[in-house]
Amino acid sequence: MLRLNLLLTFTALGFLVGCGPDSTPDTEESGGGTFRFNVLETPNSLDPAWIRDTASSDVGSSIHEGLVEFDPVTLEVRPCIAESWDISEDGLTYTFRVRRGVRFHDNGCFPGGVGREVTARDFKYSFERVCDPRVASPGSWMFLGFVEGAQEYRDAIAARREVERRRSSGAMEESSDDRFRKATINDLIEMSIAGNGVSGLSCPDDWTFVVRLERPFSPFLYRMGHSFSWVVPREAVEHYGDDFFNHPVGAGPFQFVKWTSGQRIVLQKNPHYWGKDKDGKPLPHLDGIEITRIADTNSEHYELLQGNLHFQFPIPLDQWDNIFNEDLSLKPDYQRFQIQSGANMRIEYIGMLNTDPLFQNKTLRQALNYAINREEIAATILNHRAVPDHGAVVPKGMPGYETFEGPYHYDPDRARQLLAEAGYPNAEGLPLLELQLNSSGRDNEKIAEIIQGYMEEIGVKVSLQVVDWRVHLDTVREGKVPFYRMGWLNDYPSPENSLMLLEGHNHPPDGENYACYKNPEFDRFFAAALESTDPAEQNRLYRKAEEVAVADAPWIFLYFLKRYRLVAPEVRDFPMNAIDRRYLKWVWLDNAK
Amino acid sequence: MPNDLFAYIAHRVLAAIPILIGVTLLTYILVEGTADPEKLLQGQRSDQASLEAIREKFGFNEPHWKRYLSFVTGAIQGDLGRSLAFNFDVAEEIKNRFPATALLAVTALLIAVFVGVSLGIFSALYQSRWQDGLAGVVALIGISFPIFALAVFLQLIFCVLLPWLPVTGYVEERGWVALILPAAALGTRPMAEITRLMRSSMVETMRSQYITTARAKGLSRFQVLVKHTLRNAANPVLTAIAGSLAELMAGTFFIEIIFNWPGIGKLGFDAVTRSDPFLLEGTVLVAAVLFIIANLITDILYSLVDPRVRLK
Repeated sequence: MLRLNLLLTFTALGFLVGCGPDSTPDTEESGGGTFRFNVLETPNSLDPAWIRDTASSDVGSSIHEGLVEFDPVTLEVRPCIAESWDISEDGLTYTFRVRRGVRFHDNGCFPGGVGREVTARDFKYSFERVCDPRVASPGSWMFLGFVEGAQEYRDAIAARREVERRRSSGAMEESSDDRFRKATINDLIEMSIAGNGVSGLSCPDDWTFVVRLERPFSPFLYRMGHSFSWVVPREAVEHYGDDFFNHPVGAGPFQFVKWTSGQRIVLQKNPHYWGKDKDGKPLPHLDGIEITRIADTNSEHYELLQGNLHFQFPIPLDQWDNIFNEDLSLKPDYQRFQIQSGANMRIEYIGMLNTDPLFQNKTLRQALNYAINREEIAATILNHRAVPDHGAVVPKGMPGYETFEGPYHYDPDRARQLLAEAGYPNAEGLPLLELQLNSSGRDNEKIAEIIQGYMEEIGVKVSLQVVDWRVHLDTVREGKVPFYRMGWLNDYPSPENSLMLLEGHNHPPDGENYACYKNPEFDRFFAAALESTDPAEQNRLYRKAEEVAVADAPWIFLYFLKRYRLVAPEVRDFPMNAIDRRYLKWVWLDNAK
Repeated sequence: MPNDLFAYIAHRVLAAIPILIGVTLLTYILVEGTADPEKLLQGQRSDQASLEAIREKFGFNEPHWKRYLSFVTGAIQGDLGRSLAFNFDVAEEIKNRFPATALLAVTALLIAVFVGVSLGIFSALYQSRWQDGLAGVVALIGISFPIFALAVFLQLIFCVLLPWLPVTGYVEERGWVALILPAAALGTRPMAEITRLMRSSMVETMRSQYITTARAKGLSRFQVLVKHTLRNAANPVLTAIAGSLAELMAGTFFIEIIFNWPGIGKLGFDAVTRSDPFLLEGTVLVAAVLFIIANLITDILYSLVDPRVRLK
């Protein structure tokens, strides 16, 4: 492999010292203690290969770590277990140098119960595990089609299983799997050879981990900060088998103690954690973490008031008027709390199936965009819990990316004019639009009703069809719904993760471009951004792609969610970020409060 | 046990079988027949290979009749499968959660019986006086207040305004005080029903001729109350108590969510929110069995109290 000049090199010393929040526990009495928070849903798994929901990620982010992490405020990528990395000039090879002295948590799965050192081979194992079809990880998209040999590895394991199936059933030439329908047993055996590992993942030595991509993919580092890229020890996975999900072993700042069924998860400080704060004090500062699972937001709120939780997010709407004055300042009873707010990387929109005969009409799509009063939706129904989106695909808070201010401000006259240009003067001849949405029990229905009103203003008749979420998702994916409500929460803070929702090759059933939008110009800019190795150039190209898409109005843009978090007075160094990634290793409790 | 009673119980048990089959079939159709659960499991970024692996692992490739049969035969053997969303063994988890639900339901029932019977007697003894009116108002509020609203109201009073009791949690962590509010909230409605029934039954009995005879014989007021009035008035109340078991089971669903009580109701809530087919089928099946048992107990008590029921 041709090793080219180093484009990006981060060295740990100098970078890591000084990283993280600014303050530090200043006395012996401060710091320590147990941090308590609640998750509204039961975490589905604490196995990184299966962490796909917010609750699991909120808990797992304290147990596990990966090669890189995100800055808790700016969300820029920075070193974690990888102390540095190089990216080859062609953008295809990522070489990570694994930090020495990082240990897995002490656990009975290791000889003597003592956690061993994390090496590059553990990352190879963890990544291959996510690609393995037997694990059926919902995170395989992170690697498939990007990391060289990932797809072949996956196919090889499937082929091996097919060989076993045919041998055991005696049906040597039949297969229920479309991929293998025409394959002979010899074809399958040949295919299964690649099942020994992903060729694009290699470890020249214990401290060097090399990832080779199939094509340049500039946001790859962001993917390395995702939960699916956290490292796990093979010993623990094999020792606990199916129960690894609730006996997690990682290398993060806190180690798992217990998960009481239906009640709480307890974590304790990892005494061997490698990290230090900016003053050189060992991290984490807390002694432990307790996570409750209270589903009712009012009960959760009362627990916060009783001092049994250290923060609440999201703030329940039922309590909103008790907490906030009209100007969003805190009422006297709540002034002891800290309030944090910020934009979330979650976009809400109404999708229009661009391949539908009606919605192929770009002018019609633009007209509908001008009919929506987003400010009113944000201020009334959502109680300022949203930032109006006048036509931006990429949410605020993306590191280094300036948010695009779209053109679609509320203008019913302009909407009527465009409607006429689209061939529907006074909306005559326009059929009834059926808006399908999933029931949220509150916001979705109310917002759909107010949108119905805005459309009525310009003469467009809209009916509402409320269905269960999985029916909604299935039917939208199948292209059966031309007009639908949809949202997207970014997996990681890269414009790519937003703009791919409109990429021409990303159509359903495997892709997330449910609107089936396709514009070669957009695809060209987007592809060029992925190939670029210059961050500034990437952002310029992403912006170009975004401008093309917004002008085409593939969706009715609605809003980005804004989040508010109520934090107990004694909590320190617990900043909020746009993807709500919680790094509790820096958090400390000011016991003087 | 008299033969007709035995035959009656056997008949009721046999009648429960088609109900159970109906419940399992309906649950299966609603849960697994309407959409592909594996797609939901994979989320918005699912890929075909993972979906295929999940289908194979959990048997979703099999035809529906086979899957349904496998669910039923598994359930008979105590195997309810592994949760799709949470990966745990469903039967094992239900077994772990059952004591919490049983503790809550039994405590609520005890509260309901003790307070309801006492208030009913008190009300009957002070018939048409202000004490009777007060008890009537308490019972009316207990019946009218929705259980979830009452739970939040109690939290607000006893946890926020008067911070005496824990808002949520189980006895293992927070001690026995954690049981007070959930049990009180759950027991309030049956308590109100028992109060009203006890009162009316007492009033009716007190008007009976044998009570007048007992008094005429010179028995003390207390003897008349305990030996004659209460014994006779208690019969319909006893059956009402058994009948409220089913109501308590339904109530635990809300109470366990609000008070973060780690029982079967909360598990069912998780099953619904995650659309977990195996967990949903398991919890619904167990709830159905519990309902059937509660109804069976009620029917048996009825038949013991009034043998004419058996003849019908």
